[in-house]
Amino acid sequence: MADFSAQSYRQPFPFLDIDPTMESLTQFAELNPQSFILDNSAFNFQTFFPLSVNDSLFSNQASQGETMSGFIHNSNQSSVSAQPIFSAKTEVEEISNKRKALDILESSSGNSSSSSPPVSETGIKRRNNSGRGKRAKSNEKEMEKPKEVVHVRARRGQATDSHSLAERVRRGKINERLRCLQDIVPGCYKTMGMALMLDEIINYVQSLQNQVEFLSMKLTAASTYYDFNSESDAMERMQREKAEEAKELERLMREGYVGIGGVACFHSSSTYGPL
Amino acid sequence: MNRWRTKREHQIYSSKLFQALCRSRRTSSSTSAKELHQTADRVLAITAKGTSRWSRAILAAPLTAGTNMKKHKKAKVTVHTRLRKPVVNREKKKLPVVERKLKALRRLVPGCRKLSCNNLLEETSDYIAALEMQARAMTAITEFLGRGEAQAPTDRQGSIGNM
Repeated sequence: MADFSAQSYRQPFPFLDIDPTMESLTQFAELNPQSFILDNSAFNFQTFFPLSVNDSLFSNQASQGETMSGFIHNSNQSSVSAQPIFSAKTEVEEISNKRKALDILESSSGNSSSSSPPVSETGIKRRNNSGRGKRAKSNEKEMEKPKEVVHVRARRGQATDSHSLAERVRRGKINERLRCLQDIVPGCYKTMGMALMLDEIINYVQSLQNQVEFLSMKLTAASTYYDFNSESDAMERMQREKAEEAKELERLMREGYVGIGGVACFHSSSTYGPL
Repeated sequence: MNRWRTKREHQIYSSKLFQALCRSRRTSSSTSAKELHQTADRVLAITAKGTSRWSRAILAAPLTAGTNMKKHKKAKVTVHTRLRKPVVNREKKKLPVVERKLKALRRLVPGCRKLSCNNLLEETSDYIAALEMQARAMTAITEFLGRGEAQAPTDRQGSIGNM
């Protein structure tokens, strides 16, 4: 059994032979998780995981534990034989996700406890077992609702509990909207904080509203002198003007490309003369 | 946000505004600046096609809403105020700076009194873009009217001179 499992661990990508390894996996999962991890550690330390040696111990064990449950989960959900490669790819992503998330979980828990990360295996085991509930939940959330929930990657050195994640997402959205506004509102530079930005935005909105008010006064003044009764064709005239403007622009552009010359321009400009 | 920049929207808005202007001119000879401002805002909200909150708020508000000034509740001064213990307000913290500014912004953008920060910023960007387009369209119409005006008086003067 041990040899067989060793073989399966040495070729995780792609998992074309998941079916035969399924039984062994379920058995291992059902057995003591502790002994399971201990067994894996020996294998994983020598195998292909490209992580650095410092965190290899924690993350390998933890990731292996999670990937096992992940594979079981996946195989339970979907027909493995039909999509071996696809599931392998997603599993690769999930592994990298989980590895990173677990990396950070480990580092954050290490930070919060303000102690140097324990090197002993028993310490790792304990942490794995105690934190497993949390990790399983957050990982399951990621796996079960891939379409509804936005995948948030916890970066290195940042907390990964659901509250901080949600807050980070919220802050990200607000910052995105702020950046959008920055492009619109003149006089904002990137180094401005939220308070200054809001000041600028408020000023700009107020000035725009004042401008519109002033323009409305100007328009009423202009419209009093305008004879609206004879303006039944005013709409047509306006539209004609605008259409002509647009056409002229278009023609100019086309002539720029084709190079027919200024003759056509001259004609078009002459038609606008009397207006 | 980007739709307010297109020439098409500009044309749609200015033509609608001009039509509304003609109509209001025909019905009532005296048009105040306030009325015109309100009509312009309503036409802008119509052009928005109801996708944004501020446009819906503008259209939902009744016509004479501007004249009904909301009076902030003033503290009623009665005889008993001195007898009550004075509330110590100096120690109270002001609301955080950002919150105050968001409050001010909420007052500026119509219909966003209770919006969250996130949605408020979105509405603001749409509102700013719409206001810019409104300003551009109104200047264009003013120019157009001005040009029309420049031609008409010359005819009128000619006819008056002949008389």
